[in-house]
Amino acid sequence: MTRRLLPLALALLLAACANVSRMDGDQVVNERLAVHLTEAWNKVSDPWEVDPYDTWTQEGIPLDHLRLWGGVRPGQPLMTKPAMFSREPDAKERRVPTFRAGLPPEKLVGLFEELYATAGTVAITRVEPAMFAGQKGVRFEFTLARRSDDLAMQGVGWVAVRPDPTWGEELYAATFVAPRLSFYERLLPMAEAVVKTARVRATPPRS
Amino acid sequence: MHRIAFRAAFAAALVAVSCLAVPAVAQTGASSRNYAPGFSQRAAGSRMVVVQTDMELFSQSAGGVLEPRADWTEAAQKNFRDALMAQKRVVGDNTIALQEKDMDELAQLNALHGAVAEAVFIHHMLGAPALPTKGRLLDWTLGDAVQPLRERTGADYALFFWIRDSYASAERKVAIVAMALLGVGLAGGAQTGYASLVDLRTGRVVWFNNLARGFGDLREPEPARETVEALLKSFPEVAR
Repeated sequence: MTRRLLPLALALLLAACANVSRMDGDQVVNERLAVHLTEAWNKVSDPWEVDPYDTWTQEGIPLDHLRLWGGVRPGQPLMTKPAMFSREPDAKERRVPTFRAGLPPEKLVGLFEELYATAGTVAITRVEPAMFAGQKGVRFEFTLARRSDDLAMQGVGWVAVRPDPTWGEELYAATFVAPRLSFYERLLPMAEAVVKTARVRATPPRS
Repeated sequence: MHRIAFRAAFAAALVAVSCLAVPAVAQTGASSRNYAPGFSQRAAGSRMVVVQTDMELFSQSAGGVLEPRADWTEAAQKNFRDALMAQKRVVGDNTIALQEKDMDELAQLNALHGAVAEAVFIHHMLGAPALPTKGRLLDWTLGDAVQPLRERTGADYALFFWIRDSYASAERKVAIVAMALLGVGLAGGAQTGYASLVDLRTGRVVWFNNLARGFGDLREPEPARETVEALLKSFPEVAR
């Protein structure tokens, strides 16, 4: 199908612009989420550095990613507007999942369902209470039938909300996605090893 | 026919490809980059299965819109397969060819290969950007996803292909000339192909090559033969 040329086009564009750096040891996402890496990852920097999350990968951009959100405030989106290189004449403007204060767990998971729906068909398969970054939250699993190449992907996410005296609440989250065949089971322990070390970094004192 | 405008994306891709044109051409030659560490040739007496090529051909309209052409794709599949089977240094008595009906059950494996090959192309062959944890080595695997293919065929290796090819329509060619007279460059068709040899015991990609160029034509037998030869130029021999 025609759509299958789009990922190649985007990948080539990204290849021409992206920067990748090695990540190991202690790392901080958005100055708010601290993690410790016992195995190295590759951090993919967005060409325009507009995404509100860090993207790390083991095998490459087309295959797997670990995304980390640190200290998202109410009213802030979880992603930038999806690039629209094509649009049907009657297509509606795409919504961007945006964090709001007071969201129950199922609505928090729904934000990530909406986020990954930009890449294909998403089905949430499991939601359970879990700790993330020292906060009570949820762990959720999902499948993603990737639209660009019909590849069956599998994913897992962790999300927690922390009270904040300034902003009311802050969202902390991580997701890991990889092909269902072979890759997900093999790489998941590496992603979980990072997630287990996540903690909220103290807000620096205001000067 | 369902039409999707890809002008911006495709133009961006062509810009990227043209920026990388020199290394892309160089990739067709034999290089240690094509081989996984420790691999140089297929084992003596080994069997290889050739997986049906994941292929799609497109026509590019005057405005740059890409439309899939099933008739071209069907012809290209035949031309590519015929040219491949004529490559006696690649295929021989120990080669097994899968049929399309076999691929119905292995469609996800072929899709997985497409994603792995794209990662190899971007992060290893182009190295733009390279993955620091890979150390500039051909170090990718399809893992245990290849086991059903090994069990079904008993083969030691599998040869996968992923190809996308587009051709400027007559209207597009006129537009290219007209805009060139105005000093504006427009892109024509492009041929992108990946070929991977996978060790079915481990799933490891032991050899890889790619094409990323603005010429080539799979719709006709003779130029299809040139594409196959270019893609398999550094293909590993069988040990004696």
